[in-house]
Amino acid sequence: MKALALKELREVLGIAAIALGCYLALAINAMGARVFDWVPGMPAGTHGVPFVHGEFTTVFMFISVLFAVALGFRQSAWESARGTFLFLLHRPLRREAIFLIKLTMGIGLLLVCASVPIVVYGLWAAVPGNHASPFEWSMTASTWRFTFLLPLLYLGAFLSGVRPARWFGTRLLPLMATILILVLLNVMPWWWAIGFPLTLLLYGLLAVNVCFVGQVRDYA
Amino acid sequence: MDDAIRTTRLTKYYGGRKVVDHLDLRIPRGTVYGLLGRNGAGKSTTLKMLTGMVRPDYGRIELLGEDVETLAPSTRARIAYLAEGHPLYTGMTIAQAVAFTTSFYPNADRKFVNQILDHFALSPKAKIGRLSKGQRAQVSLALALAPDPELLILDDPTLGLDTNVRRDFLESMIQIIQRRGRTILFSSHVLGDVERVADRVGVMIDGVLRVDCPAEQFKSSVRKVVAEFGYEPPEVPPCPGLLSDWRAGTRRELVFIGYGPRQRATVEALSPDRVEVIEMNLEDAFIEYTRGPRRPLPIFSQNQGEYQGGQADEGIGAQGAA
Amino acid sequence: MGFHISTASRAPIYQQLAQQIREAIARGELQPDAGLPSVRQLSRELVINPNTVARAYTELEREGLLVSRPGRGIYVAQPRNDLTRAARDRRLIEQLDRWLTEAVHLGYSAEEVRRLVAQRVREFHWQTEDAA
Repeated sequence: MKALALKELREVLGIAAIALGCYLALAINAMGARVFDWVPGMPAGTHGVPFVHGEFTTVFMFISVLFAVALGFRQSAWESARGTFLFLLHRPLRREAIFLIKLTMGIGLLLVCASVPIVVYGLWAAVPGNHASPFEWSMTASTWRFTFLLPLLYLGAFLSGVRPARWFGTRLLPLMATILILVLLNVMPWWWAIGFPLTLLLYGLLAVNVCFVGQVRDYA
Repeated sequence: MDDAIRTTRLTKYYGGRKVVDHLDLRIPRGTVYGLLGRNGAGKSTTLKMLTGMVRPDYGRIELLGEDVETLAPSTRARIAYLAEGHPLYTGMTIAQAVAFTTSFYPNADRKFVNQILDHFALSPKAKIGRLSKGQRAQVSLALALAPDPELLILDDPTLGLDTNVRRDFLESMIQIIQRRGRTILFSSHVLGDVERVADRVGVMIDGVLRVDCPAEQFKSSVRKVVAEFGYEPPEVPPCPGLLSDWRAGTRRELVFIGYGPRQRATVEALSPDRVEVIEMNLEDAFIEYTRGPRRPLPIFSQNQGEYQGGQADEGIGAQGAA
Repeated sequence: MGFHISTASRAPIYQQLAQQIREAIARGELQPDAGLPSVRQLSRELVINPNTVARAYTELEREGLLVSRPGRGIYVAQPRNDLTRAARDRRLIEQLDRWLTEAVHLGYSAEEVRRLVAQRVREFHWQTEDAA
């Protein structure tokens, strides 16, 4: 179990490092360092209100979506394409356990990495004098909410990667569906009453679906 | 329960094609079973169904007395499976792969694995992605042996290995066999390898297990039957031991392994004008079979050299392929 | 001992091995009481299934050419003649006739055949010495 968890971490280290690098570049630039101004879309300078107005949130979302999708595919389609599922799935563990360990590591890493720029930028903005506008931690709520929705995208990508389908388009169906759900949930009113439990439920449903597909598909 | 592997009417379709067709395979414990067949004959799909990587459309599989559908992890731990092409994590070093694999087996013998790696002169620090095909096969075998498995299922383990490496690999297989009581099922497209190593031999043709006999019987009674009809030859019904079946003008050339009364009756039922039974070397028979069906020769061009010379001339074709 | 297995041969491997041991004994390369390699050793050396080696040994034991001494290994047996002279003659003549038929069809003369036999006889190790 532990070995499998470590193996999953080791395999996505590269992707995580790139994502973390992008996140930090974003945070540094948003804090007014202006080192990464040459990157299109980067927030330049400290105008706007942190997390509410300004480019930080847009770029954060962009990086996060790419990160979640890349992570999901790296942990599923990669093994499928390399044939290593034939090696991995013969290990004496229940197949659900193998897939759940993969998902747990992926989601964990995704959430930890995505939290870094929010925390870094938030801590900086919380220091009086760093930023022109006032800052409250409650202003980060919508960014946290989006972060919390990211695993849905990751699960959709994972499902697309593990699901065998002849046509590329139908293969991407789960990913497309989760993107739609993510957009809807992101603007859902009554977050704590409906959005939050619904997201948790979707986590569960997607994870069950991954296990099911992993169980019944042919590793031909 | 003295069968290590038992399948009942195992069937698998891919698309509309029957890849494995009502396979009844019984492999008693302690047997080394060699499964021969050319690419696409259904060997790999069969072995994948045995290990639960592919779900059969129909039929049952028992491994070590347990249904594969509900195989307990503890039973799986007693079975080694080498998939075709030896898939391993290329980013790991050999040492990391050993640590990773053995972590799943409480009784894994790391010292033994290291001895094997040492025997093959493989450095633990080497990255798996940088190894040659042969070295990768050796690592794969060493990892498979770590938990001291009772049953080994090897999917064409010597595929793509050059002669020397193949011999090394076979030698290791012989040493595995010498651990008494182990059951080995391996598929191969190399006749000589199967003959050297197996106790029992099966030949799969188009998803059907056509031959299933002790290795020493395998070589005797290989016959080529040439049936002359004088008109468009009729189709030959499926028959055990029928290795290949080609039409050449108004003749049908059939190659049988284990030619006996049943096979003779099958041929006679077609009521040909003339039948000629020729003794045949199995190697040649197999080369002809693996080379695939030749295009039916138009009667008039049989003696003309330019008509796909190599294919028309058996002698040259057989030597060339050997 | 250099045994050689060919998978291209028409004979099954155990028969190839048994025949080579028979010949080695007949030529005197393997003397009575000489030890043979163990099943394990030979199977590893020739890269063949140990059961195949065991089968060849069992067959030769049944023929009386080899004896196994439990716990010690397998040895070349002391020659023994339990067939009557007439039975032995019959067996040899049967094979000889087949061989001579082949020689006739291949176009040999009687003198050539005699010379050939005399030449080959010298290659073998005979249990009883007599004036040839």
